[in-house]
Amino acid sequence: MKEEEILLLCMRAGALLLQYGGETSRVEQTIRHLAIGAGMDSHQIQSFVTPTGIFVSMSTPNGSITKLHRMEGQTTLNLDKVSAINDLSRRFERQRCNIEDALQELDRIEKAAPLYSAWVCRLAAFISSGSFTLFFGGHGIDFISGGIAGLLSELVMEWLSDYVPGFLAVLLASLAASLLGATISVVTKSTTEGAIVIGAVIPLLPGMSVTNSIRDLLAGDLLSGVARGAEALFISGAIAVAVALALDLSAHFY
Amino acid sequence: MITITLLSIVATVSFSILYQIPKKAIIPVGILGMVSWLFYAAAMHYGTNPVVASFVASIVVSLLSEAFARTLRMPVAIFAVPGIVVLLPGMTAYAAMKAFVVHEYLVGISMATETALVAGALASGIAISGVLAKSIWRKRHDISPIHK
Repeated sequence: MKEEEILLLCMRAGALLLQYGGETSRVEQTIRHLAIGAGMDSHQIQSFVTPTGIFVSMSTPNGSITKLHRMEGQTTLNLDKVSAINDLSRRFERQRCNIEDALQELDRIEKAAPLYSAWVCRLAAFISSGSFTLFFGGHGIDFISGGIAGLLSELVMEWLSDYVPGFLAVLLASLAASLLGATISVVTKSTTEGAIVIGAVIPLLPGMSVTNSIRDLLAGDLLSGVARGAEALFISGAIAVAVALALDLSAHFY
Repeated sequence: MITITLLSIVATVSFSILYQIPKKAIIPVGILGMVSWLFYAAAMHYGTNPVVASFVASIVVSLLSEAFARTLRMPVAIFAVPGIVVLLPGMTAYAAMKAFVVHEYLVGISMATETALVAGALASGIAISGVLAKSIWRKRHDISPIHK
């Protein structure tokens, strides 16, 4: 049945967008684009998207059909895939492809390997933490110290994010990174311990959640905006507690 | 000064790779990191406090991000999140935590307040430029009838 297929397409696209870190207002917009591209009227489709679930309802000549998708598992940030799904929905709306093509394209996007491999990401974490350390007032060798601590936080995140909830992984990763940063700064007799620790934890900050929260609130999506905002607050709180713990511990040992 | 400007580009680009941004967006993101640092430094040079300087830089960067997002047809977050990361009040937050650990609560609270104010300034910069961008680009953006 054609309506079932349209609904399936909307659900798949929406769930993938949400999983790769798209904001909920974008997901709702994409679902509408797809439905209109499939020849529906904009008032025939209603969607309600929250960070933990998607509801789509569609009225058809044969009565209305509703589907619910519960989001499971961790979100894996991948803005390249968000962008690709976004493009696909616009193309579909302008009727450049049919439903089967769109579903195949979604499968392809989901199965595609990340644009940057794990090793590139680790290198990027090293460089990013190192340059933030220098940026916040470190000198010369602190680039390597901050980089190593940042690399540790990336590795801990990679290892833990499958097992534990997001903010606990961030807590442990930033604890490990700031302890290592503080230790290295003692070993290398660095005077800018702060820059090393901050450089190491900066990649863990919830930049995406804050931005998405603001954009959702502006779009009138109060529920998702508040939920994402709370997530961002929890994560920043976890980082602050971890840094304080590490500072206290290192003050006792050295 | 030049070293720090170069660092702001390198730091922004390598940070954005962790978010898996599309390859086409890497150069714009580097430009945004540099612009946000330069605006912040210029505002601080003219004697404004960090809150105002962050606000100014955040508005400029978020507006530029909206422009990049519309010309390259990509989601705004690709540009807005990495663009703003060099403005984060990392050292102030660190000073606050350090003060709390050694029981200097007054220093800690004042530092934490400054951190919160700067973060609020950054957030309101994103919000205001989001609204501004919508009103600037309304005609071109709303070609399709669904947005009515």
